[in-house]
Amino acid sequence: MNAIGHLLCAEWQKTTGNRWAVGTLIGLFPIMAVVILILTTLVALGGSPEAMARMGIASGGQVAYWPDYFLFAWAIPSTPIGRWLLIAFTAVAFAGEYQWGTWKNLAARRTRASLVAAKFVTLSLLIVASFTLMSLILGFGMLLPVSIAGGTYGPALDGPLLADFAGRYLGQAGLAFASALVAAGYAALAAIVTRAILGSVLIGIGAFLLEEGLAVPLGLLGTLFHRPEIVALIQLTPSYNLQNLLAWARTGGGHTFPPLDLYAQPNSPELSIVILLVWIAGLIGLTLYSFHRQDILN
Amino acid sequence: MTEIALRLHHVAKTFGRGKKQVQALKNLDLEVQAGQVYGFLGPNGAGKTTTIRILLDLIRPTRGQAAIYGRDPRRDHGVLGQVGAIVEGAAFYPFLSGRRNLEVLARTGGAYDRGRIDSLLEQVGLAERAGQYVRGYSTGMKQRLGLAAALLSDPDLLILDEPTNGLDPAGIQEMRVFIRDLVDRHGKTVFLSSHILSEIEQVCDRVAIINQGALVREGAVADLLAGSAELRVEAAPLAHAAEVLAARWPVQPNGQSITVRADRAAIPEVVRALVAAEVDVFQVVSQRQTLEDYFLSVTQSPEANHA
Amino acid sequence: MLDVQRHANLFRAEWQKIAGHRWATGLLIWIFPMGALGILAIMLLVALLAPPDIQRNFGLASVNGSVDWTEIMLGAWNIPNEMFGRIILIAFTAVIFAGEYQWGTWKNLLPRRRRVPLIVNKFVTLGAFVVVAFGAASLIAGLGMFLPVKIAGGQYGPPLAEALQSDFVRNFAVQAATTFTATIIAAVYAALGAMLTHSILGSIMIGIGLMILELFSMGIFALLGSLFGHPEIVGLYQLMPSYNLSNVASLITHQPSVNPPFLLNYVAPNSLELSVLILFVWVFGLMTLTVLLFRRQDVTF
Ligand SMILES: Nc1ncnc2c1ncn2[C@@H]1O[C@H](COP(=O)(O)OP(=O)(O)OP(=O)(O)O)[C@@H](O)[C@H]1O
Ligand SMILES: [Mg+2]
Repeated sequence: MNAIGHLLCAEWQKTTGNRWAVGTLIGLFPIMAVVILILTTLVALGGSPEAMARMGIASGGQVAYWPDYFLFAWAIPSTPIGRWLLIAFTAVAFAGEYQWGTWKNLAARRTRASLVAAKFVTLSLLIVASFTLMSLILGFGMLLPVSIAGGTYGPALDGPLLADFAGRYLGQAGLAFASALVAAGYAALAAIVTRAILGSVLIGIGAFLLEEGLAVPLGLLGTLFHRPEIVALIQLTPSYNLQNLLAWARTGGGHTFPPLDLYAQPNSPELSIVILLVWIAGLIGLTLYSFHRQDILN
Repeated sequence: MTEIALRLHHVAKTFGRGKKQVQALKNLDLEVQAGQVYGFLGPNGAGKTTTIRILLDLIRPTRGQAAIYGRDPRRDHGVLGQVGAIVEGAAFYPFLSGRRNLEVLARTGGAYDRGRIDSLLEQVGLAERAGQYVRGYSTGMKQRLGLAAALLSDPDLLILDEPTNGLDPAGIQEMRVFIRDLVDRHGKTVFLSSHILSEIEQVCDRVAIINQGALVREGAVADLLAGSAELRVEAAPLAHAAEVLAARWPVQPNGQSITVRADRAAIPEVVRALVAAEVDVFQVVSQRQTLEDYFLSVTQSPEANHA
Repeated sequence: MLDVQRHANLFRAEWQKIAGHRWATGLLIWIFPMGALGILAIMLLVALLAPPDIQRNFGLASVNGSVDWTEIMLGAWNIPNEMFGRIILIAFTAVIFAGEYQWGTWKNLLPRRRRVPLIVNKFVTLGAFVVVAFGAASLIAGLGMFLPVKIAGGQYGPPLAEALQSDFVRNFAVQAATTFTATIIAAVYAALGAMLTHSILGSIMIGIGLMILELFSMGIFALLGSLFGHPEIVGLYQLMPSYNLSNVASLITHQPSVNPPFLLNYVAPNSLELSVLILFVWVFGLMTLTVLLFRRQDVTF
């Protein structure tokens, strides 16, 4: 194995060795998939028809749409709870080294940039692994309760459907990944700045909340200074662009809301992707830069 | 008849269960009389800190009892009011100043006396830095603050776990004088664990040595070292000399010389034996064994590992 | 007398310690009164600078020209019942309880005081912080809004005497007390988490996890009911803290019952006394569990 391989391997061992954090913050997703499967199977075995309907199990010849189950996992990183968990996980990976006083062991052995980069790569791998696993467990697993309940798990697979599904799947997964990376970027930067797990979590979550509530102060500023178009600045934030891409994928039109629609067109998908990439690169770059300049004191 | 400050009776402690089980203490018995400095020695992982935690009711023994002034700290927590302690490296709230940390601890104990805190900070040499956040303290400064914290309630018994850890030579010297002073002039009792054997040798009246959770030796420092003198013999050929001497004394080859377990009175005998065997003798020196030698010999002998 | 002083000292020790953790208290508890101040500042700006229709959007001048301060004061106490407020308070509890593990400071405290008063005192201190923070937020918002409303030319009513005669005092007391109890229950979850995980983040995760579990408990009971063919199992929901809290609040303030119709198919609503009793059992049961866990714990950090 070469040097980079060793570094990644070490990072992976260290991160997954923190059983507790991995279990509750990232392993939670595949575990949740298994729990959902068990519950639905139980309901399929003994529940009333209403209960089955409520659990989304197609019974008596109805059709359960399997692409939904495969895609479900990838919607999670865009939900608040999913995002908070990812922030907490990133916080443990980055701020943990301060808390355990272990940066001093590492920083002497490697360049700081490669240490931070290894952390981001490891996090990405873990995140992709976790959601892929969840997606596969749910997607294939649901066949069991649905067939027990006597429903159909459809539609039947053919070439065009597969191509369409693959496209949607990759799009959804890519979006989820981008969303996760933005969250990780905030948390990592906050970890470097506050040097504490809790501080990193709070600031990471705070940044997202701030971003989502940004319309209010921008709107207020706009009215105060009689420049209502200021509110369109919101189209530069990651949250907006993530939602915008989702909206494009779902409805074929961009994301907007009053009073934003009065002043600006929704970003095009390409523009949104570029803006997101700039944010991700910017946050990671800023993390690297702050870490590079930092005194390691403990 | 002096008072017993501290006693352990058949104390055992096992951490964890099943495969991960660690027997930190096995049937430890110990008695410390009031009014002396008592040294508690043992290699890393011997169980010193575990013993101290049991005395302070931080952990419960798996078997046996601890008693402080005859009272079990588990049942009778009040007795710990007479105890001050440093456990395994002083730890404080990093976001509070040194003085504020002491204030919080004093209040936790139920009473706060500003004058006492000031004079303690003075005594440990932190008066000038007391207003700074502990976050910015050096290891030795934290240790000094730990000593001040241990003395807050003017305890009769001080339990100090490696108190000189991180102190500079002047600090170590001050600590030694300070501890002797507490005992000799103020009638306190000090129970002290350490690795620095020369320290213990200079400051302690009695010592106990534990290894792998069991008591190996106990006694007055002077007694332990008496009758355990050694001779260092330089001679050629060394191997032959060792062979000759081994017939009568315990011998250990030691690089350029050999170490013979015998006291000064045996020197003529040794030289005669060597000369008779046609060995050239260059030097025979009598050495008083240090606590360090003694410690190494008892903690590394196979007998100790059985205990 | 001496004992009172000892307890007072213990309380002050905890208060000084937590208050000294500037950024944690700033972000996790003082944020509430500071938020009230921030909102007030925005309101003042709006009152001074914005056109009337925007002022109306900000609730400064309602259609009939009157703003009700009693609602504002009650509203501040409702923040801990919102998801986000609750999570922040769970994090605050986690700092209080799990912080000692993280800083390695239990070993300093335990020889000085028995474990039970140390833990109970942490709950008391937490309660004091909550009362001070939300009392302050409520006062700041309730008194402070007078200014922007007047500037915007609205009425700030009702008159104090009238409010005191109406249900305001009782409603305020009930709101404060139920919110306080709800906060303490969420806090005990976090405290339990601290005892189990010895880490601030772990304590927060367990606190939030238990909170979410409780949130979904009715659904879970309903599911179990339909699984086992005993739909009345859903009635167990009436044992949960959140049900009883809102039940108590609605019974005292004579507001419509909180009982979901679905639930009423199977069980009668709890009486006031029963609900209070159940809440009492939860709070003290969980606190006792925390204390028991801590009493049996080896402190080796
Ligand atoms: N919390 C714990 N869980 C498991 N094992 C423990 C724990 N605490 C201590 N031990 C074990 O108990 C044994 C005694 O440890 P202890 O800390 O008492 O040693 P010590 O004599 O103080 O060593 P040192 O000189 O290094 O401070 C060691 O083997 C240690 O690994
Ligand atoms: Mg030790």
